[in-house]
Amino acid sequence: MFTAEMARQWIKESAKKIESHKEQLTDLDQALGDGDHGLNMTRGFKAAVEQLPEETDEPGKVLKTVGTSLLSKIGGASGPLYGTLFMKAGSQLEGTTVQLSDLSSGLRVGVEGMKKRGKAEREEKTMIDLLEPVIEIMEEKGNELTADQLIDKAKEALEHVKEYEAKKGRAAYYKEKSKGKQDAGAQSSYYLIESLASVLEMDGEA
Amino acid sequence: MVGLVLVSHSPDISKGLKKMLDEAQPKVTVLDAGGTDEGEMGTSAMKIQTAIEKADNGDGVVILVDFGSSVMNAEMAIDFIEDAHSVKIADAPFIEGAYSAVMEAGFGKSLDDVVESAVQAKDTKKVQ
Repeated sequence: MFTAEMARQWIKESAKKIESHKEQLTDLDQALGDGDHGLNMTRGFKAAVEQLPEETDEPGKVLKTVGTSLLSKIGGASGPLYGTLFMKAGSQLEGTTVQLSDLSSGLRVGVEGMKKRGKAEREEKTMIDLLEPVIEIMEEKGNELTADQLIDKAKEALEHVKEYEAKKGRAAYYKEKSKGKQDAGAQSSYYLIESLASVLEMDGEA
Repeated sequence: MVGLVLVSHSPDISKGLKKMLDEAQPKVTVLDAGGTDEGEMGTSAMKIQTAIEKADNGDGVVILVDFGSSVMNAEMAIDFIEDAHSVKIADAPFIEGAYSAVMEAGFGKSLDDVVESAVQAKDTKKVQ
């Protein structure tokens, strides 16, 4: 099951993780981009937490609202990208009874929307390189998915992203010099997945 | 008359360009929608959406963008608008494209003509 409360916890946990890694995200973005990712993401997720619909039992509604908050508050390219992810995923999830397999189908639509919006494919050193492999493992495991499987896949993906040459955004100006450096967007996506895993883990223990 | 929306990461650049275009063709509605909602560096889909609605006098709107999130947020703004076919993003250099576009718009040209003139600004040679 993936409940509205779990969706809210996911976002609250993400906001905490992003805020506590604000400087790291800024440093990564300064090396390859314009250095505003830490600040933008912290502002965006803070707004998303403040605007979380606390009353609803529908996880889809929670995620859609999160998408709108991120879109309007992040400011950088991550705004429309993460905004698209959550809005599209949210609009796929209907009603109050949502399974993990439904969440993975929703996130699949979300990530496809991101790829279209950012005109990005895999191995271009972006958040897609983190999110898509994770969504694949979610699709593969369905309702049997565990927190550890999510984390393991996310860690593995994060290592791969580091080695790619940047093809998108301002990082692309660095060409082969971008190899060996981490992408700020992939790093923030990693925190989102780590947060989702911690919510699944808490649910498993309940 | 076709309206124009200017989207740069820097609110000052959009504002400065609007001033230049207003002097060139005062009759054309030009809206600057650069920067975030808070007026910082960045772009905002909502800000762009509002500007599109204000710039549209019934003949459509051309959006001029700089790069990166400008393009993405302009596309998102168009997604939110009902009459989306009357709004186009010009694949054009920001300043030169906007200047060509405002001239054509001022001459009462169609949406497609205004977009086309902006796109052609790409090929203008600056040094012969």
